[in-house]
Amino acid sequence: MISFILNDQQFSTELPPGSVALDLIRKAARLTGTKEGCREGDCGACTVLLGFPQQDGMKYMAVNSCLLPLGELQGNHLVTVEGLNPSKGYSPVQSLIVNEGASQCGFCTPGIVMSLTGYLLSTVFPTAEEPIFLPQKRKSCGILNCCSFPENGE
Amino acid sequence: MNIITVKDDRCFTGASATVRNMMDSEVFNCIEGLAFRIPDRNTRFNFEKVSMRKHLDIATVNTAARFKVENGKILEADLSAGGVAPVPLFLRETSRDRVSLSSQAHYATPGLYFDKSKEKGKPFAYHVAGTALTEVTLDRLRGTYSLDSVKIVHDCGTSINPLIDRGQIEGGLLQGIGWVTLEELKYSNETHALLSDSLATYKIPDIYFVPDEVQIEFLENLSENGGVFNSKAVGEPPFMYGIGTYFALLNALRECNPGIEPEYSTPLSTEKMLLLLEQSSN
Repeated sequence: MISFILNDQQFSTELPPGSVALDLIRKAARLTGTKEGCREGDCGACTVLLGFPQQDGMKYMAVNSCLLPLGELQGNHLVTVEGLNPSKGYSPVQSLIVNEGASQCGFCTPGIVMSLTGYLLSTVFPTAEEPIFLPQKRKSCGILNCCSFPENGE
Repeated sequence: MNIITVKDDRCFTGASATVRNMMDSEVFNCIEGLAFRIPDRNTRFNFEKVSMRKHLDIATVNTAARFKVENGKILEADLSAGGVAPVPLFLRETSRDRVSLSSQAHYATPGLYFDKSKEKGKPFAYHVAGTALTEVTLDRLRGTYSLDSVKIVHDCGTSINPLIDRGQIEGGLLQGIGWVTLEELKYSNETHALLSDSLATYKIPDIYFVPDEVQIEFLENLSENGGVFNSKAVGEPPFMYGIGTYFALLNALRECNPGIEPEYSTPLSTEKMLLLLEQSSN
């Protein structure tokens, strides 16, 4: 039995610890905002936030859910794009993406939102330039083919 | 994983309603199977599935019937018919206020014709024009390069939504750059199977690949072109700006290795670039 918090709910599953979080998110939990793209950790469409309890609070990082074994979730906090805005509003990152026209077809946008949110949550002094280098650091998010990209300064 | 047993025999409410009822009763269940009670001796049942589409294994009509029969008399009968059509809903307010919930339009570009026998005519209403100025820096020892800036003037006609069009030009530029620098189809010499068949081996541009500076200007072009609201296609034409990157890299190569005239071949990957830098120029 693996127990963790999924967005704002306690969640338990009997699924094997080696199965991937993406399948649990999309099939068992029916949260389809997280997208399945390449399923091999390249495209980042499936990016979610994983929060670990630390001595001084929670620490969040953006991870590819297609490569995330369920065992990693035990006792942690999994946040999907649905969990960013429980009151149905937009998060600041989402608002910026809308205002700057950074979403085109939109399929990978949830992953981009989660990656940028992970960056802002895990960085004490965010800078305008650094988010551009986020994907390599976090091994997640960021293939561009149909999409435009957020302006540097935003 | 749960296998749900249908508790009530009388489940002839249609497939979607049956599943929906069961899903609601057990939150977060994933149905992997359905089990039914074995009908007793007096029960007769039959079902039919009718599929009109040869290559799609979805029945357009499903029917099911169950009869409880004793001594030649039908005591109970359940009938069900369903299909893949959506469930019709009656929308009171929109019906009352006569609001149409759909709209559609067709646009036939005026003045297009083509005579196949003469192979002459006017098959396109307009062409899309544009230009890109590309700057690259090439590391002559390693063959690696960076894209310093791309400055584009693009003719969108009259842009319907400049924010969307700008995004399409940025995305098109990046896709074009990917084609000429990274994306390579590699086939096995023995089996001829495609080797670069996943994003791990067929690398496409990521956010790092965006040139340090991208400037985009729309060409002021308000002349009549025959497009919708005088707009022009913006999805694919900007791919062509990637070609600028190819030639900028080629010029940088000539600067480092004078006299070399490599055969035209894309993508100009760093691997290829390194070999070309080392190649003698005769």
